[in-house]
Amino acid sequence: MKIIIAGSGCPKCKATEKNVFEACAKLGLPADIQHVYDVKEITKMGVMITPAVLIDGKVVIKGKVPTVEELMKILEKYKS
Amino acid sequence: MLNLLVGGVEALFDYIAKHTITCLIPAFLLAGGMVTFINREAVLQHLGESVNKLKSFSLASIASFLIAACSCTVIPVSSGLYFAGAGVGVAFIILWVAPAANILALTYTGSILGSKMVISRVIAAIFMAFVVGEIMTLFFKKDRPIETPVAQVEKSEGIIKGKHLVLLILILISLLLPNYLVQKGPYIYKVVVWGIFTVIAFLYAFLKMPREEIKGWLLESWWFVKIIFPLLLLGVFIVGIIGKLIPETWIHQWLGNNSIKSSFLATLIGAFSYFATMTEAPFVDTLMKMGMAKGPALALLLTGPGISLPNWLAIARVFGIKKALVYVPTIIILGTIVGWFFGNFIF
Repeated sequence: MKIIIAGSGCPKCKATEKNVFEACAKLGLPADIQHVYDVKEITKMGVMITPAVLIDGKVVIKGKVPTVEELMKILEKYKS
Repeated sequence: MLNLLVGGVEALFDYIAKHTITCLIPAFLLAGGMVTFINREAVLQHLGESVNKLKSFSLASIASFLIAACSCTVIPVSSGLYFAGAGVGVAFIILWVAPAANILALTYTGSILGSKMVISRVIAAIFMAFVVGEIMTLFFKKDRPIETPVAQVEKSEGIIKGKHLVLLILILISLLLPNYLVQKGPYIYKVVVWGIFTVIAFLYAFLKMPREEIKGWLLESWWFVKIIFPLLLLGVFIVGIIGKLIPETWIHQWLGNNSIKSSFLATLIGAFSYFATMTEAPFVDTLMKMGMAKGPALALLLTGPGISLPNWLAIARVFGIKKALVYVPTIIILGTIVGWFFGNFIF
């Protein structure tokens, strides 16, 4: 599974990254996590408001910091 | 030295006592609510679509109030729009209006400097936005970013739901009403008025909305508190020290009238230095008590949070040096004119 965090280095984006790592650790999920900072790259993904989280190319969170529980629920769905 | 620190601490206590409950808490709740309940993607989608310039410029100005971003977060939003295909004028209007006249800064300006200053700030900000949009379009219309295949964003539904709008209005009332109902009398009256409407707002939220949504709203509000409150306290502390440091005769001499020179100087101070959203209001308040005229005060209120040296550099990096070289001088010239005009003909 490939997870991308689209952020601009803002405090919320950092918090999002932390929560993603935590959610993956709690689920014991071996995911490839990447944080993209470049605005042009982010726009190409179809994200307008950061922070956003993409799983395998699909935007699952946009414009807010997801909680760890919220992320775990989404990740569970994508795991299978 | 000790004297200076005392000045800073005094300003801090005075500020906390007067503003925290009836102004800051509702302002943060409102900003958090706007971020959670207003579908910002839908707002932004409207901006990309409209071809008519008057319509897209007006929409961009209004959208900037709704996005409720401070200067640190507005650059990615604006550049994202630009690279996604919005006009260069629209992108720079958002870049300007969101920090210069966002909802947090406006409510706070109102509670410190009065409603006339707020209305002037809004009108001046929007006037400047239209001129900036016009000028950026004139210079860079042909200069489109290299076409990037933008991923198709699925159409999102409406901008805001009815029940959420009601909640936002209730919070807005709890923010505005204490200042209008209680013009005189002890501060506790304001707290009572604020308390009644806040209770109503929360009751409404608990009756009408699922717990998840309420949690999201409070979480977003808490983010605003965490990011802005420390900066605000630091800003007020520094302002307190500066107030003791600068002799009043300087202020009178350099910023004490509504001349072009005073406005230009105030604009320059604002254009270079970084003011976190909201810190500009106590700063301007302090300078005004020391003798700064209203025209320069307005210029400083606009350009202080609107642009700053770090913000120029970021704009140059993201949008290109040429656009920054047009944008920044335009703002400085406009700020000077606006300060002079309002100072001489409006106030």
